[in-house]
Amino acid sequence: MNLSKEFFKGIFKENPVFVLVLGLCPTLAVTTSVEKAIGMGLASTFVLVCSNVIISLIKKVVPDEVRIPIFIVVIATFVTLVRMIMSAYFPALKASLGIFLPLIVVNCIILGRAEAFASKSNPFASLIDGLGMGIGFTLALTLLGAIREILGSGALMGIPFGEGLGSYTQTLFILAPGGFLTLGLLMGFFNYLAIRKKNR
Amino acid sequence: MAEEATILFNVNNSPHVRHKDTTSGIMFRVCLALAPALIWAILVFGWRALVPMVASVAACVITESILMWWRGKPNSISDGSAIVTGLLLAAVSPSNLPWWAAALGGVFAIAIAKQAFGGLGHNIWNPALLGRAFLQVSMPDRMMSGDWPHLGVAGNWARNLSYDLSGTFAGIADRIRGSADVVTRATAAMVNDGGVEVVTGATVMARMHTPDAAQIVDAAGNISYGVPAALTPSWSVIFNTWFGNEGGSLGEVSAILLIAGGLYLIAKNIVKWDIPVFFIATVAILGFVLPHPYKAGDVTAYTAWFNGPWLVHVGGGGLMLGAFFMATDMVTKPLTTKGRRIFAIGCGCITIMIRLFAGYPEGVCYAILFMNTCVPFIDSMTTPKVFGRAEAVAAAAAKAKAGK
Repeated sequence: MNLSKEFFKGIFKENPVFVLVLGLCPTLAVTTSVEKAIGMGLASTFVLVCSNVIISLIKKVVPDEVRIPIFIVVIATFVTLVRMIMSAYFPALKASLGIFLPLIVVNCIILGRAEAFASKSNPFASLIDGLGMGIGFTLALTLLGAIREILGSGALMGIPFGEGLGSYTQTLFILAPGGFLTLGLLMGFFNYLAIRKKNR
Repeated sequence: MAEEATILFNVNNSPHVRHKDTTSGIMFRVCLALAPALIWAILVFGWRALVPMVASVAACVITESILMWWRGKPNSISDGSAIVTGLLLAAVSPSNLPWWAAALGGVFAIAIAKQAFGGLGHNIWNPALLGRAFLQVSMPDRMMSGDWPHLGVAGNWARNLSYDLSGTFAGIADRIRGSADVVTRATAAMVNDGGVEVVTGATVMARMHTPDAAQIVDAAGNISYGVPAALTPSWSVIFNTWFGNEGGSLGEVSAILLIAGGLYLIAKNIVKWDIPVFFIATVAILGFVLPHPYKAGDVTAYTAWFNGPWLVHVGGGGLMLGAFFMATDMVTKPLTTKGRRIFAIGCGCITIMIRLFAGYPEGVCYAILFMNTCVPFIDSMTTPKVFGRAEAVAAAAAKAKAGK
């Protein structure tokens, strides 16, 4: 198995947000700023990597009929861990992510990778897959968050641009319709690039 | 003889009957119908009103040509639809909108609302209205604060126009940046001839939107609240609203001139009468029938039923512009007569619901956009029966049954 391929497919060819279109709920909700986007992306990556490895290890002993509840329990364990770590060290970030942090449990990227990859592959490949997908997810969220924060609140990483550029901000982009709009345009742009690459 | 026969039976593909109307011809007539209202806007708001018009038309045309070139399609500027979108977008923008904001709205209207869906004929929503909705959400303070017509302050167009022209260069530059002096209407009345440049104030729709009631304390010390004056408008307010001497978006101020333009479009068979008539009638009836909310101290009180200021509901705000020029957009309206009427009544209901009970004082824009979204459903609900089809299906079913 080509490990570098497993790693990079999550970032470009099978990017969870722009190609697989998974996990749209956190994607649209937390990308109003780069800070929240990175926090969400890293938390999801941690859960994804850990749950992928554990599920890959226990795949032989899990009865097929009840595999989904068992996957959810494993994922929920790591989400609880992330929440506790965040409350201890990044309380402000945890507060700003709000309900979307516990909702990582039902993020379809994580369950999707458990179902489609980890339950069929060896632990090391699952770890690489989780890492690639997690980093792909984080990069996508960061890109969306950067565009929306720059256009919508005239700031980047919470640092405002100041008076001159600040008066040109478009509030639409930090609202829900702006999230859909930015996501749609970026998805179209990446599809355009993919088609051009294929035709060349 | 044989040669003659080949000329007589000239075999050709359909269509055989062509209508003489062209897209560019229709768009030119729409521009013509809109012209009186826009010229009136320049008269009452001054030359400043040209800034959003020129900026949004230029942005629409440039965006359209760039995107058509990018998509590898023939350039479609000559059909005039981008110009109409630009003019309509300017018509629903305040006259003191900065040029870059109007241009941004134009780019959004063409790039997102029209070309992203496949260009003219494929858009789901009216591009100009989606452009306005974008600006409204993005820059609510810039879109909600319109100039007050100069006519209301000084009553002298000629003076206002000459004042605009003779203004110092710095003054013009200030105006183009949209940062000219802003004073309230009350102050303006006091400094009437003291060189006030731009006057802003709440539009008639904003004044009618849940106004505060005045407190009345009687001899015994009991506190009561009267119905606010804004909900029982005087004839002079109604007159100003209909003739275009009220604040508002630059193209919507004069109901009379918009009706004239709309009648021209109906006469030229570009617009069918039913959408404007059903839309306006719904707003008029509901505006008359429904109780209007107002603030009596801390609680919300309502005026009596069958007592609404319907003349202001009809003449004020963007209703005429929306009913004649936006809801009748050929691409985004339903196909059947029944469907068009459902569409128009829906527009009227949502308009009045937003005006009376929602957060915005004016709801024409969102009402039309919402009903645009429903057009595919309305079309599929009102598809006429194909003649003879139902009988044929029933006969086939009976035959199959008999065969068994």
